[in-house]
Amino acid sequence: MTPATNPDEFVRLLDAHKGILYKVSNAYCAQRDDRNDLIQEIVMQLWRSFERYDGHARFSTWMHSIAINVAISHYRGENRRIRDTLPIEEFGLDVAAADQLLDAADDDLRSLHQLIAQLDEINRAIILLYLEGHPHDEIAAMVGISNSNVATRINRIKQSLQRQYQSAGATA
Amino acid sequence: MNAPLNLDDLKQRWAAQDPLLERSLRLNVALMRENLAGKAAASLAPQKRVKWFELLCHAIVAAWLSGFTLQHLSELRYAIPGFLVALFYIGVVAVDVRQRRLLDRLDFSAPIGAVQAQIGALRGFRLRIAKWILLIAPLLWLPFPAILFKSLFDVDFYAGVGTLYWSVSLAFALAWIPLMLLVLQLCARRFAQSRGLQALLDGLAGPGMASTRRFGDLLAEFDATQASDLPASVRAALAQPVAATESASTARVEAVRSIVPQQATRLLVGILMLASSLLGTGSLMAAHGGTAAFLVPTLILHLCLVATMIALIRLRMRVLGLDVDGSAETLRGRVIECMNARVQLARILLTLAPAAALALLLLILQLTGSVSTATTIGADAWVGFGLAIVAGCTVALWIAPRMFTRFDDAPASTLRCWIQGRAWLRVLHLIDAPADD
Repeated sequence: MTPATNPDEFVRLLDAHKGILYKVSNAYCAQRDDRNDLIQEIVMQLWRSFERYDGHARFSTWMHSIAINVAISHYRGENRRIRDTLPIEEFGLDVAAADQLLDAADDDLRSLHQLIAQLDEINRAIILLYLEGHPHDEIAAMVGISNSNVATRINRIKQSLQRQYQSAGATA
Repeated sequence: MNAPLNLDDLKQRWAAQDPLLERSLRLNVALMRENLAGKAAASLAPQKRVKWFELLCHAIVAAWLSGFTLQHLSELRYAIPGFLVALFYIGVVAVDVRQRRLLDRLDFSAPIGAVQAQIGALRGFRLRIAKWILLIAPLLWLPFPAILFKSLFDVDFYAGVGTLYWSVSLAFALAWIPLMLLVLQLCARRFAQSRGLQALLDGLAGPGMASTRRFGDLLAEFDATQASDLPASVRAALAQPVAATESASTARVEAVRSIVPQQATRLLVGILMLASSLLGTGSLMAAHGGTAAFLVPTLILHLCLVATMIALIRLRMRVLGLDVDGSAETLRGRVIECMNARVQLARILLTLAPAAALALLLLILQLTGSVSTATTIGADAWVGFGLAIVAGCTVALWIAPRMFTRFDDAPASTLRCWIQGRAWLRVLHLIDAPADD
C-alpha cells in the first residue's frame, strides 16, 4: 500500500485540516442538513483523489481545491453521487460544538458569513481563500486566473461586501 | 447605517477562530476509517452496477437492431428504419461511454475554473441529449413496432395498418417536438420549485440549461478580465467602484427588463398561432390521410410549420434567458444572439416559403375540387411538383443569407434593422453608450 492510498495517513491529514471541511461547506450550504451531506461528499472525493496526491502542494492547498470544486458542484446540483448520506456523527465528524462556536461569533463575523453566502460561486471561493490567508499567487493557481486578476477581484469583492453590509445596516 | 466593514481586520479575527474551530470539531478516526473502507465502495458499487447494466442493455439493443438491419438489407422498408434506430442506439452507447470516461478523468484538484468549466460543459451536453431524446421519442417509436413485429413474430406490421395510421402518427410525432418544447418552456419555471420534478425538468427544459449557461458566462467573464493583459490604467479603472457606471447600467437593465416580457409575449402569440395551424394540418391528415394528393401537400405544410415553430421557440428561449445582472459585455453578446436568432428565423421562413406556397396551392386546388382525386395527378405532375419545390427552396436558400444578414455582417439598412429588431438595436445602443449618458 503506497502512502497515498493509506487510509491511516489520509485520516491523520484530514484530522489536521478538518476545519477546511467545515468552513468550505458552511460557505456553500445555508442549511445544516445540506452542509453535512456536502461534508461527506467532500471527504469521499478527497479519499478518491488521494491516490493522485503527490505531496508537491501543501495538503491544505490541495484539500481546499477539491473541497471548493465539490462544493460548487454540489451547490449547482451537479455532483450528487452519494445519495445515502449518514448522520454526520455516524460518518465520523462531530460538528455540534463548531456550530455553537459559529452561533456565538460576534455580529461582524456572522454578517461576514451571511454576506459571503450572497456572492457568486467563484467570488465566494476567492474570498474564502483570501480569508484563509492564501497568498495571491496561490489563489490564482487554485482558481485558474492571473495574479493581478486575483487582486482586482478581491478589491471588487471587498467593495461589494462593503456596500451590501452598509445597505443591510440602512434597511435594518 | 452600519459602520464600514473592515475586511482586513475581519481576516485576522477569522484566522483567530481557526484554533477554536479545529478544537471544537471532533473527528472519530476509527469510524471515519471504517466509512472510507466500507461506505465508499458500498455506496458507489450499486450505482456503478446499475449504470453498467443500463449501458449493457443499450449495447444489446444496438447489436440486435444492427443484426436485424443486416438480415433485411434487401427489404428497404425494414432496412432503413432498422438502420436509423440502430444508429440512434449506437449513438446513445457512444455518448454514454464518452461521458463516463470524461467524468472518470476529471481531476478535482485542478484549478476551480477549469474543473467547473468541464463539469458545466458535460452537464450542458447531457441536458441537450436528454431533451432531444424526449423530443424525438415519438418519431423514433414510429418504425419500432414494424421492426419488433417482424423480428419477434415475423408479422408484416405495414400490411396491418394503413396509410392513415402512418400519416396521423407522423403528424403527431412531428408536432410533438415543438409542442413539447413549448410546454416545457412554459411550465419549467413553475415546476422548478418542486424538488421531485426538478431533476426531470431541469434536464429537459430551460432552467437547467439557463443556469449552466449563466455559469459558463461567469467563467468566461473571469477569463475575459485577465487583468495582467491590460494596461495599468485599465487595471486601475477595473479596481474602481462600479458606482460611476451605475447610471448607464441601470438604464440598460431597465431597457432589457422592459423588452424581455414584451418580446416573449409576442413570440408566444406567434407560437400558439402556429400550434393551432399544426392542429389544422394534423386534422386534415387524419381526415384525408389515405389520399396522396392530400397527404403530400399537408405533410409539407406540417413540416414547414414544425420547423418555424421550433425556430420561434428557440428564439423565445434566448429572449427569456437574457441575464440582466451579468456584465455589459455578456449582455451585449446575448442581445446580439437574440438579433441573430431573428435573422435565422427570417432565413428559415424565406427558405421554406416556396415549399409552403406550392403545397398550399395544391391543397387549395384539392379542397376547391379543381383537382378532384389523386388519380388526376399523374406521375409527371408529381415529379414537376417535387422539382418546383426543390428548385424554389434552393434559390431561396441561396438568397436568404444575402438578403437577411447577421449583426456586423453588413452595413445597416431598413430591412436589416427590421429583421434584427428595432427594440434590440435600441438596447444595444444603450449598452454601448458611455457611462455618463
